[in-house]
Amino acid sequence: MATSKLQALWNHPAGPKTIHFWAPTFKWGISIANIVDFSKPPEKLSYPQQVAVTCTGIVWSRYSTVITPKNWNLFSVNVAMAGTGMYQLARKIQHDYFSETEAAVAKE
Amino acid sequence: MAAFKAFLNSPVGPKTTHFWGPVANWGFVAAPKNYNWWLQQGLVDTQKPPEMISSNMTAAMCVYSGLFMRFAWMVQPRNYLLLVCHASNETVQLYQLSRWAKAQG
Repeated sequence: MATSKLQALWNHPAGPKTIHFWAPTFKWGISIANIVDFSKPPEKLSYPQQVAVTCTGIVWSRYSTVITPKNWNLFSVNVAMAGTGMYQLARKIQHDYFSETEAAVAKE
Repeated sequence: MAAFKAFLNSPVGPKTTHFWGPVANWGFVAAPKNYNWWLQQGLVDTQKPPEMISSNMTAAMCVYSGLFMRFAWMVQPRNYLLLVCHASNETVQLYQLSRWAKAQG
């Protein structure tokens, strides 16, 4: 029973025998790299870059559902990209606009 | 005029996401300098000295754009804009890789 399910996945139109599998799988590297960068200090983050990552993730998430074959691997990697981008943006905005007062008080 | 209208209304034209996905990707090809090390800059970086090129990232980008060129060709509908985008990035990254290799001596 398990083998037939595995076989179905193996032979899927967006499965590991096709480019529809490997292209998105490789793209996970970008999101993983962004997750590694969660520990980077916010001063070193780039607004244009994180906005680009976020927008690209959102647009491509939609794209993945309207192509043939429908590609949930591509969908999930782009949802992750948008998610990491938004998180990084939130971190940087928080640092730039909402922690200045704390820093000013600390200096006094 | 008729050709332009046809483009506007095409199944892969600007009214569809098949257009805007690849457009978003062009940012990676032409991106400006202050981007992160892992999101490789494209054309602007060709002006950087070769010592600053990350061979890991450049090689990864070569694989990435190679994969997505194939993807763009095989997907339905076939996406020429995406293909051209990744073909350009592939070219730029291969050029950067050759600059790096040359600087290794």
